[in-house]
Amino acid sequence: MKALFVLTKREFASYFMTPVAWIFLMIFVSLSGLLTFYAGDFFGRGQADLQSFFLFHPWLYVFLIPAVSMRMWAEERRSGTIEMLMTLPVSTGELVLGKFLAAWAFVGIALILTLPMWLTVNYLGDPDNGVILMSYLASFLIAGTFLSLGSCVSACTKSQIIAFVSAMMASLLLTFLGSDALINLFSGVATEKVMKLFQSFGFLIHFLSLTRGVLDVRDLLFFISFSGVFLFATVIVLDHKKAV
Amino acid sequence: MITLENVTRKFGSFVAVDNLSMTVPKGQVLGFLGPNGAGKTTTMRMISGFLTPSAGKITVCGYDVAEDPVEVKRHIGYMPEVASSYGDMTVLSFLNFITEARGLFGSAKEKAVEKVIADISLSNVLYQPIDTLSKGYKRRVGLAQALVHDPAVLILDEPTEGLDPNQKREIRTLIRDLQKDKSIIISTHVLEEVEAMCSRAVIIDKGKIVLDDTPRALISLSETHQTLFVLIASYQRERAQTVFNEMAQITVTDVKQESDEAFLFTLIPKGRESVTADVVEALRRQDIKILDMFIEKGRLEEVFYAFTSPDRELKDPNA
Ligand SMILES: Nc1ncnc2c1ncn2[C@@H]1O[C@H](COP(=O)(O)OP(=O)(O)OP(=O)(O)O)[C@@H](O)[C@H]1O
Ligand SMILES: [Mg+2]
Repeated sequence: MKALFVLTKREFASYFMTPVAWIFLMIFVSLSGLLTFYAGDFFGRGQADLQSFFLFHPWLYVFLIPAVSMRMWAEERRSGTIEMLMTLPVSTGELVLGKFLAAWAFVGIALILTLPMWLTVNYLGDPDNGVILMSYLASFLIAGTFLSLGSCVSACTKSQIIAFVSAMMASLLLTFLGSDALINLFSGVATEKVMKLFQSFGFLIHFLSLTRGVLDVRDLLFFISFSGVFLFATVIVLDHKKAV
Repeated sequence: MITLENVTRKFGSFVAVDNLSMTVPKGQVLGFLGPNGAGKTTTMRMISGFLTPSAGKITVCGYDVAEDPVEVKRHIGYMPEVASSYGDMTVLSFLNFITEARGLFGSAKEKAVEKVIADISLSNVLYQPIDTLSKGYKRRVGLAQALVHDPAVLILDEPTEGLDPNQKREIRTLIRDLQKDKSIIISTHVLEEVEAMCSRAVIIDKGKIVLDDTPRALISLSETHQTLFVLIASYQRERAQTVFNEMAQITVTDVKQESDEAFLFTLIPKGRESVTADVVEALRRQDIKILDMFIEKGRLEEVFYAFTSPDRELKDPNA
């Protein structure tokens, strides 16, 4: 437990040693704001909520989270530091969890930096703060799921670029599974049932239901179990591939 | 205490370590030698739990590496061949991290870090990012990282590679000091180092042990072992030659004029035993004066070459 904390602390600190981290924070905060105001028609909607703000989060994550997760294992493997790391007296599970938690906390910081948005809507009107809190939670959860996916992809390769691109494609696919666009595309081909099944595996539908303020345990479990599976897969990949 | 029982490691169909068995008791410093690609690093990675053997069993301090990897890692200090530290961290923060990850906190941590900084002489680079250190200093940080928790077993993969002569010396002294309550395996390509700090030398080639003995015993396998160089005054040269020719147990391989007054004879014993006493006695009986004399102990390098070079004739170490 203490070891997990030590590992997480180091990984977290290491984010701020690379420019990528600062760029990530800057892009995330500014882009999430800009998208809300321009694409999301924040003022035009005339409603005091953050719906349009959260709507864009999964799409931002699809491109930005892989930039955070690509380094996780690929860089350790490329530089060879993985050898030192994996001969410390900690289990592979703790190592994976430590890196994951650090990355998640880092993305958490990015979310915290968007709090001015929340203050703004409260200043402009009278939003349902419960829904906003839930939406933040949902956003944080889906970010965690993307990160665990990225962690698994990063463990498979020594190249950060490959890790980035593959994680992005995979995230895109999983998000897309739940989107209307895909549903419309296949509505003629697949039966209703198949579409429903597809959709239930899509990230978007679970995310959207949470951001509407409906606290459904199944949505929470969906993200948590998805993350669990990817992290577990990371452990397996590492134990098999670490030295190759 | 380290034991390897019939350990094999394959990469695909390539056998990097081939049915290797050995035991390293407490108090032993084992020099692990072999040509490039012999399987030294692979073996050390398996002991440290980084690589899993394809077959065989490894135990460290009584714990099975396959069954109890975390407990094994707790007892090992391992210095990998490459990249044994995070380049973006400073020396001090890296050592603090490693010490904490090894379960030492508070004053125990501070004491351990302070001691290792003194032992490895790192005090003047503490706040420098490791990336900006010279190669030798990087190696030293790697060594510090392996020693900081005072482990019962040390696995060092070419620890002195890239160190300056002074540092090499200090590390040798350090390792000799650490020796008494630890099992240590050191791989190296610097053969004098083995004589200086190891109590046992194992030479492997193509994943198999080819020689395993004390450095002194290995040296005695050298072609030039017990070769005698005798300096004789010029006016006694002829007589000395006759004396040597009459001795059945030696061959004169070389006679060289050293100066106007002296000749140097090179005598190789036909057997493995020392012929010094016989030679001295034979010369004394003829009243031939020995101006100077020295005995070649042999060189590990020759033995290494004889047993691992691609064009070696197969030799029996007991012949
Ligand atoms: N991950 C790997 N995949 C394939 N082959 C490998 C791998 N690691 C090592 N080998 C091979 O195993 C053999 C032994 O390598 P190893 O690194 O153990 O040699 P070594 O004795 O440490 O050599 P050196 O003196 O050069 O350090 C080499 O032929 C190497 O190419
Ligand atoms: Mg090696």
